[in-house]
Amino acid sequence: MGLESFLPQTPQGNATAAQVLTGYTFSSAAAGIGVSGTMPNQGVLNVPTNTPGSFPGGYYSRVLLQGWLTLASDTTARSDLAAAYDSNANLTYAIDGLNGAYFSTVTAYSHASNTWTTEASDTTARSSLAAAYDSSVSLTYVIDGGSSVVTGYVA
Amino acid sequence: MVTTRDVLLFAARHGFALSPSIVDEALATVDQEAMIEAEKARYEILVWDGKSDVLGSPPTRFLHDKDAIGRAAVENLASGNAVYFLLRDGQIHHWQPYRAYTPGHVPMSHDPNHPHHVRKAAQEHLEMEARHQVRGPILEAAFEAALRLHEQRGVPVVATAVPQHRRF
Repeated sequence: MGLESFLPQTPQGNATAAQVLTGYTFSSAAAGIGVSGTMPNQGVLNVPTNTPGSFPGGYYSRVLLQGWLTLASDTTARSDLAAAYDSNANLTYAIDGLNGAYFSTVTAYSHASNTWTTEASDTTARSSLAAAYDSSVSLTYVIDGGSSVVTGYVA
Repeated sequence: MVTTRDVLLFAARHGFALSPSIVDEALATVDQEAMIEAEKARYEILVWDGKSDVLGSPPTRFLHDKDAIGRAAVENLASGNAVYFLLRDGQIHHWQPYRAYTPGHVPMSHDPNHPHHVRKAAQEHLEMEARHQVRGPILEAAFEAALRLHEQRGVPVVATAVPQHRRF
């Protein structure tokens, strides 16, 4: 056994008391030996969405968003449209609809970017239609709506 | 342009049967072109280099592999194609990495002679978008004007139940 094992050890590391949870002790070059942590353990944080404000500092084991989020507005105001989620493209489509006249406009919402993009227009302008995505063929079907026309959209 | 038929349809969906001639007259009092021009003035085309922040958002917000739009944007920029944003009142309104209204995710070019030149494509998109945006306000204005004319002339407005899918 070497002599060095009998000498006092110098703590290593740069942790400070504010970076260690309350109730725990630690040693570091920055803080010293046997220092108590001061970071509060806040547990789970439930955050109502669209509620501005700040929350106490500290450690949170989980953050849960509750309620409704206001996202980017659809770029085309209309009623009686259809919507479908394309799991392959990971996009939500807003399809056709009515605003005084029948629309063939298709817009796509990107959750990743929180933006809207204009897609290829439907071949038929219509409202009160239905839409569904078939993942086996990666097609979004747009069905009827004042007509019996069915179109399939591939992203 | 909003037509008399559009206003009649709009009114019918609100449960009113209006006189077509009165709607004609009411619609003539609404300066549609001025409203469209005012709407167009709210837009700005931002052809993006794919590197700069966009209104405080980093490029990673738009260039990613999380969805088909992000992937298309990455591919198009890597191929030297053009992408753009339509800003409305200084805020992002459209993020467009391929040509709007066109099947096939058609890429756009920086070359002014190219059929899919980005500025021409964006301008067409802007024009269409502005016309879409003002449809509601034009319909509301014409509808209100028609109701006033009905009242002034003592022509009764017939309340009606119209099936949602009815087409004129």
